[in-house]
Amino acid sequence: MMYRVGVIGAGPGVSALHLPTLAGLADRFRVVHIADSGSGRAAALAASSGARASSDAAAVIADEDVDVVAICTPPDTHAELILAAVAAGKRAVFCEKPLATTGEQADAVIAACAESGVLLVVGTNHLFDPSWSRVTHHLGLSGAPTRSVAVTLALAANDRYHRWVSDRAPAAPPRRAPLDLSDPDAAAGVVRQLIVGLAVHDLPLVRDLAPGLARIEHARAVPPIGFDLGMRSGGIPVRFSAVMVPSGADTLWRVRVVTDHERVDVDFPPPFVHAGSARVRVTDAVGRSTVFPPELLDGYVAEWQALARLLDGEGAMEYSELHADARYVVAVADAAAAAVRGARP
Amino acid sequence: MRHVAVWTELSAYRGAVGELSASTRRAEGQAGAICVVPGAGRWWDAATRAVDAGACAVVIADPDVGPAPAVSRLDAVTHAGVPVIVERPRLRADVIADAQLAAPPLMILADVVASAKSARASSRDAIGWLRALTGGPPTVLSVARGRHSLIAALETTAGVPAALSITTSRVDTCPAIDVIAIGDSRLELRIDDATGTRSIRQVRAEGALEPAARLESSARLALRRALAAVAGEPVADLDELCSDSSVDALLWPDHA
Repeated sequence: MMYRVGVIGAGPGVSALHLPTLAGLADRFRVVHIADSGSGRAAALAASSGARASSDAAAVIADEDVDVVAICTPPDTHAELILAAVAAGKRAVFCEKPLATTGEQADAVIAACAESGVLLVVGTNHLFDPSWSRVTHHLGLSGAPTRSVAVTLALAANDRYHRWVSDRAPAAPPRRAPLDLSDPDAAAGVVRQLIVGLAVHDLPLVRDLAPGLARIEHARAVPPIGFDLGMRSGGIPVRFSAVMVPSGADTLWRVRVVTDHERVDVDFPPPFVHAGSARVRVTDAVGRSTVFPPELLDGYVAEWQALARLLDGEGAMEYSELHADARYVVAVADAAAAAVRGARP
Repeated sequence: MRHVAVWTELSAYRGAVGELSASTRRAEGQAGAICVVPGAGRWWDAATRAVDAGACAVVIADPDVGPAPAVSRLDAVTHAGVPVIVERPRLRADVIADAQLAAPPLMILADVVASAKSARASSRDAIGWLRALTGGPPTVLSVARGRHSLIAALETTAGVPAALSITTSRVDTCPAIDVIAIGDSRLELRIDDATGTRSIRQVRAEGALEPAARLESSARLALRRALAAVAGEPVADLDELCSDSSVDALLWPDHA
């Protein structure tokens, strides 16, 4: 069955990621409406997609031709737009990460979706990466408890990857005042924003591996833009370190899991590109390494396929898991921000 | 050419003497010789005895972590003017030379996986890597310890954030150290005793460069460095070992 998508947002995530991805899934999805917030970018994107354009999110939500609302706007608008889509009786919402920026927002949107039966997928693409499924399957079969988790991100500028997936010139990044990370409040704000908007990709994975309450052991901002966290999740130590290096080496995005007798290194592809699934290497105690063959399917495509299956009535909609993931991310972000400010989390 | 005598009971060093036959020979006693002290057990006592016996240099082969007072007693060896070479197979001088950073990193991270038995020496060597790559011993800001692992927040002498994780495995795992220094150029270092890996990748925007593997044995490298020290080349191995050990001791206060 074909599902009609209305996209709210017309930034790089839409032009270089979701529209091309949906074009590749043309047997399941058709983009019928794209809205920007007045930038004028939606018209050009809509023209090449054969969709309508508007400059108002409400127009997409009110559009009766839209089955699925794709929310690709700044994070602090997500909850409100989800609630509006639910109120308008839409069948499904695809929400770019994060689902919510506060715990209360997460409670509200999950309750609304669950009560109305609105299907919901959050664009945390690592969670949908087929290699990650194989890692969790492998760890489940081995039965070896997790001893530690380390997440390392060294992020090159996104526009380096746009050129591999789009021939449109990337929009100029918004002008921001220089950050003064020596100011604890400013540093706390940056750390919180990065956790909610960036670490959100991997914190659900961490929660999978180390379920339970998260307790921050150390947190700090890292210049020019980054953070370093030491935390315990369900009692298991987790190092989570990220820094943006715009002019530097290609992106490194690695999750390492150490169990009783193995270490598992998962290298996710850089953002935006369709370079297959994550690369996985499992090394045992005596040095034997097993490399999982990567799949052609990547997390960006897989997340839309997951939504199509839900719309088809296949699989269960796990609202409680989405809720727990969102709550977990916000709890880590709040505790880390408090630690950076100097208060005991 | 003068053949410098080498006193050793370790087969790796006997082999190294064979590989340096133009400049070394096996010695019957310690006096006047480069004395190789095995790093297991009370190596600090053995090193002191070698100096007392008239060694011209001492090589400490892959030392275990010693109790702080005992290690500090090595000052006597240093003050005797006898050069001390510390063979640290996970922190080789030639690999350090290949791993130099073009510019200070934005952040540097080290992750260690080892058996409980080798965790201390491995964490000390990871500290050594942080020092060697950033030009000075890191400062420990905080440590969170668990039953099987610890996570430490550190800072380099230049104020760069550094983080270290150490995880002990249930089984007898050979030590593995991964260091990633993130900057415009990213250094990825992997030391894995199980596979003999000492790999370096310098990753830049245009691609990655991997220096040729260093194929000299760790013992031969240490012996060559000892020969250079006997010839007058300054050596700071013992100071560096003590420095790394003292930082490492802050991570493991119950074991100091």
